[in-house]
Amino acid sequence: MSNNSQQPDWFQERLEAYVDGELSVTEAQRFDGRLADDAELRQAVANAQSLQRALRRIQSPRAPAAIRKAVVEQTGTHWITHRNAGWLAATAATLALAISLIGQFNASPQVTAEMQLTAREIAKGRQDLALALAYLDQATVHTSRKVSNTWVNDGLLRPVSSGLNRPADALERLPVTIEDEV
Amino acid sequence: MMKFRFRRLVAEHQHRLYGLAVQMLGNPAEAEEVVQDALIKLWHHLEGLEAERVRPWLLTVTRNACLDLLRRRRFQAVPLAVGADEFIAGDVDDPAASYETADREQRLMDAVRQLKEPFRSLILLREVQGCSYAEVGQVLQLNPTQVKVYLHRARRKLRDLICWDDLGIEQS
Repeated sequence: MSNNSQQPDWFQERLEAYVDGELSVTEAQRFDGRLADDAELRQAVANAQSLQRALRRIQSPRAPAAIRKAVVEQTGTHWITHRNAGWLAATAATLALAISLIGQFNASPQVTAEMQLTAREIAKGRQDLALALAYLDQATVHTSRKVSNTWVNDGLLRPVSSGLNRPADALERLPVTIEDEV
Repeated sequence: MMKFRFRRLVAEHQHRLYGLAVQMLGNPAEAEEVVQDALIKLWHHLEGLEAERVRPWLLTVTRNACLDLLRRRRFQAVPLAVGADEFIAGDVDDPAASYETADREQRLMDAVRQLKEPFRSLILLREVQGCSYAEVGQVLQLNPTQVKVYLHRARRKLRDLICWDDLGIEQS
């Protein structure tokens, strides 16, 4: 600062902004350039930084709880009032129920995997059962036809009047044999 | 919804406002009243207040209320009514050092309170409360250049008021 005769106040005016880091890049470079040569300016910067540190170390006292309590009472901004107590209770109960249901369905990954496996097995079982029933159904139909054909072929249902001379007529009236279907 | 917003804002700002009020007034009981009033005013103005305006608005209301109180009691470097323990930085293992720190901070705050307005508010808002230049400008209704100039003057005046050795500030 002793060398600031040309612009005596330029550095002084910007000293606080320099300490605050509020100077532009060009201004900061100019300031840094001067600091290297000016011991008095260096001292001034160090003092400003010391004072700033001391001020920033000051701890603000915390607001007592009485402030919040009084403000809430005077503005009527309690969470729970007589008017909304019932509504809040109902909401809380609904939330509790929802959380418990989610907890049940949202089981651990291992349990979930087991449940998925069981579901697949059940589906496969139902499919197998349906297929087996379909085969059984078909087999029943075929068996009954076979029996019917056998008996017919044996001549049990053959009209006596048709006689043994016309077996082909009787066969034409019969349903298709199981061998044909297969 | 408005209640929820208000309660959140009270929780967010009450300590900063109380800190500013105590530091300006030096009296916790008065500071408590000032902050209560400011927060009640906030409830009545909340609907028309944009979110980013809330903090400067609260700081302005609190500061104005403090200035009114100071004018009424014809403020003359009122001694700090708050105990040193309120400012203890917290070295519980070394109570003597903690007390010394608190005592030092108290003397520094006494010096800040001797500053005239707007210098006192500038130091408190910028240095102690950590507000940005823009926010300080909003609260004190100063443009950015004025904030820089006044802050420079405020710090210079404060440096003249404090005793460096007494404050334990190491001078290089």
